[in-house]
Amino acid sequence: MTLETFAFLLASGLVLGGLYALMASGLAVVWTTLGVFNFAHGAMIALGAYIAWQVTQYTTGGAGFLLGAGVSVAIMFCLGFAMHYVLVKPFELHANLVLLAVITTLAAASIMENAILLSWGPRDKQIAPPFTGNIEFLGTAIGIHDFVILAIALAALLALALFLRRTTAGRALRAVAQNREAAELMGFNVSRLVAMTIGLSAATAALAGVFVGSLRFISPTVGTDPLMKSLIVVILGGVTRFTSPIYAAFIVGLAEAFSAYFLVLYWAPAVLFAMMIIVLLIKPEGLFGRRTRTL
Amino acid sequence: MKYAPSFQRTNGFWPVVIALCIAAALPFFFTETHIRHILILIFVYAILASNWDLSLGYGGIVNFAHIAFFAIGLYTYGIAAKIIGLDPWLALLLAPVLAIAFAALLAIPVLRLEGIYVILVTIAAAQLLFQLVVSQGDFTGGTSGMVLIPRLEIVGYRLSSDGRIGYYYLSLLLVVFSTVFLYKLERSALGRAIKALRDNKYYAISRGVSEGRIRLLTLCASAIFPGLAGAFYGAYLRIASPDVFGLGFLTITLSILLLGGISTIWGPLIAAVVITAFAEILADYGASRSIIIAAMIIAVVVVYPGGLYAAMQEIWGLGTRLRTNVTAAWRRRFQASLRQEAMGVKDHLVETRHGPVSVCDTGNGDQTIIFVHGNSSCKEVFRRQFDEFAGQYRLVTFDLPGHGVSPNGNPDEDYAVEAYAEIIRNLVDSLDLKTPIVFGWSLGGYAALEYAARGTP
Repeated sequence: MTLETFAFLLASGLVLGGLYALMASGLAVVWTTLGVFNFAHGAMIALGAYIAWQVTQYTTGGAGFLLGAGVSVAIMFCLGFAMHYVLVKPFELHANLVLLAVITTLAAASIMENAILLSWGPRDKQIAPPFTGNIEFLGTAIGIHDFVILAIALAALLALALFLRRTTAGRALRAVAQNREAAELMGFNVSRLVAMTIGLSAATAALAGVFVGSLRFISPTVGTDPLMKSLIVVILGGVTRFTSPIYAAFIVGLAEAFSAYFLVLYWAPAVLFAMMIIVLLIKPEGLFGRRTRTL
Repeated sequence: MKYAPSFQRTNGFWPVVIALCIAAALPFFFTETHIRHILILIFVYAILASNWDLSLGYGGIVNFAHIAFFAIGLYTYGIAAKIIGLDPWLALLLAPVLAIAFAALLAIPVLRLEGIYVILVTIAAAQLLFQLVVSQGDFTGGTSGMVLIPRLEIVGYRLSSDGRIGYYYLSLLLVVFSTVFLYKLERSALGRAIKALRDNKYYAISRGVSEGRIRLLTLCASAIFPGLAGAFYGAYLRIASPDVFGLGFLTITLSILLLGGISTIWGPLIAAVVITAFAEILADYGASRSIIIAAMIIAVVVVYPGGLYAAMQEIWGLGTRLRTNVTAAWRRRFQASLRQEAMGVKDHLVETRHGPVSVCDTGNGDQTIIFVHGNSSCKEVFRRQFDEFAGQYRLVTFDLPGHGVSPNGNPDEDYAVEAYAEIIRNLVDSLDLKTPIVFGWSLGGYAALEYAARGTP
C-alpha cells in the first residue's frame, strides 16, 4: 500500500468517524437519559437532510449550506422536543416503557420516511457541497468539503460536551440521566429536560443528515444505514461518558475505510456486527465503559 | 390432583370454534385469488406475531431476531428445495429444525444479558444473518433474492391451482397447529415456569426453575412455527428476498403483537386480521397508508397500552354489566310481587355512599336486626328468619351491590368488605335503626365484623 492510498483511507476514515460520532452521540444522549433506544434516529437524519436540501434550493453557495444546516437543526430540535410528549411521555411510568418506546419510535420512523416520500418524492437528491476544490494531504488530493465537515462535526461535538459539562441546563440533563428521582426531588422539570434531550439528539441527527446529504445522495431511506452504524458505535463504545461513543465512532469509521480496501466489501458489515455481539458478550457496558449510567 | 383455577372464567371454546368454521368456509365465498392472498398473509402474520408473544410476552425476552427465524425458514426452504434439490415437503420440515438451531445459538448471548442489551444483541444477530445472506450471493441470490423456488404439490396436484385453495388450507392448518401448540404450552408446567421466570426471576430460580434451560426452551419453542411459516411463505410466493430482514416487516409484526396485546394468545390473531385488513382497505393511498397505520399504532399504544384483546375484554365486561343492570332493573319493576310473597314486605331502593341498594324493612319492635347475605346470594335467603322474627323485632335486609336486585357497583370501589360496612352504616343512619344487631352470613359476616370493628353503634 502506498502512502497516498494510506492517506486517502485515513482521511475518509476520519470523515466517516466524525459523521458516526455525530450520529451516535445523539443516540447515546437519549439512551442514557431515558434508557430508551430511539429507532427514529435514522429517519431524523433523513428528514434533517431533506429540510436542508429544501433551503439550499432557495439560497445557494456556502451561505445557503450554512443557512440550510441552521434551519434544519432548529426545526429538528423543535420536532424532537415535541416527539417526547407524543411518543414517550404518555407511558413514562409504564413497566414496559422500553418495549412501548421501541414500537412508537419505529412507527415515528415510518411516519417520517413516508412523509418525506410524499413531500419530496423517491428520486435521489444531493445537497450541493459549497466548498469545492482539493488540498494536498500526504501526497493525495482530499476535498476541502470533507475537512470542513470533519471540523464542523468536531466543533458541534465539542459544543455539546461543553453544554453538558459547563452550563446549568446541561448539568441538569446529566443529573436526570444519573438519577431521575433525585433530580425530580431537587425541583427540576424532568419532563422538559427529557424533551430537551430528545431535541438535542434530533438536532445532532439533522446536522449529520446535512453532512450525509452533501457527501452522498439522499433518499427517503437514507437513514437506515446510519442508524445501524450508530447502533454499532454506541454498543462498542458504551455510553458511560459522553466521549466513549466518539472514540468508538472513529475506530468504526477507520475500520470501515480500511476493511473496505483489504477485505471483500460484502464482509465488512458482517465483521462489524460479529464484533458487536462479541463486545456485548464480554463487556456489555462497552469498550470504554464502566458499569454505571451517567452522561 | 391437577391445579386448575376456576376463577379464570372463559367463554369456552365457542368463539374459537366459530372463528375456525368461518375461516374454513371463507374460500367458498371469496373465490378471487387476491382476497385469498390477503387471507393467507393474515395467517402468516398471525403465526409470526403469536409465536413472538411466547418469548416477548410470556418469557419477557425481547427477541428482535424473531423475524430471523422466519427468514431462516424461508431461505432454508429455498436453498434445500432449489439448489440441493430436496423434496419440497422435506425442505418444509427441515426449515423449523434450522430455525430451532439458530434459536439455540441465539440463546447463548441472550442468556448472559438483560434489559435493553437483549434487544441490541438480537438486532445485531439478525443483521449479522442479513449480511451473511447478502454476501453469499451464490446460494441466496444476494440482494436480489431467489426466484422460482419449487412449489408444493400433493401427488401432482399443485397447491396453487384452483385459486390457491391448497395454500389457503395449508396456512390455516399451520395457524391451527401453532395456536394449539401455544395454548397447550402456556398451560403446561413449562409454560408456568416461563411465566414464573418473567414475573419473579429469583423466586422462580429458588423454587427449582432452571433459568438457562427454560430461556433456551422458550427461544427454541418460539422458533418452530415461524420457521415453518417462512418455508411455507417461500413455497407460496416462490421468491425469497432479503427484504424480510428489513425494519418494515419487523414493525408490522411487532405492531400486530402489541396492538393485539402481549401475553394473550388470541390478541395477535385478532390484530393480524384487523391490521392486514385495514392496510388492504388503504391500499390505494400509497405512502399515506403507512403514515395512517403508523399514526394509528402510536394512538393505540398511547391511549391503550393493553392492546385490542384487553379492550375487547373490557367491552365484553361493560356489556355484561349493562345486561345485569337491565335484568336487575326489570326484576325490581316487574317481579316485585314475587319477592313480596317470599319476604312479606315490598322492597325499595335506598341511596347509600356506594350507590342505591334494594332494602326490605319490616316487623315491629324496638330492637332492629340487620341481615347481611353472603357472596353471590341475595336478601331473600332470609325469608324464614323474616317469618320467624317479624313479631318481635324490626327486621332489615338488603342486597349488596351487584347482588339480587341491587344495581351494579363501581368495580374499583364498591366490591369490598369496607364498602359493605359503609353501606350498613348508611342504612343505619338513613332508616334510623339506632343500635341494631347485625347478623352476617358468610361474606356478610365479614361485613358485619368490619362494621363492628369500626366502633359504630
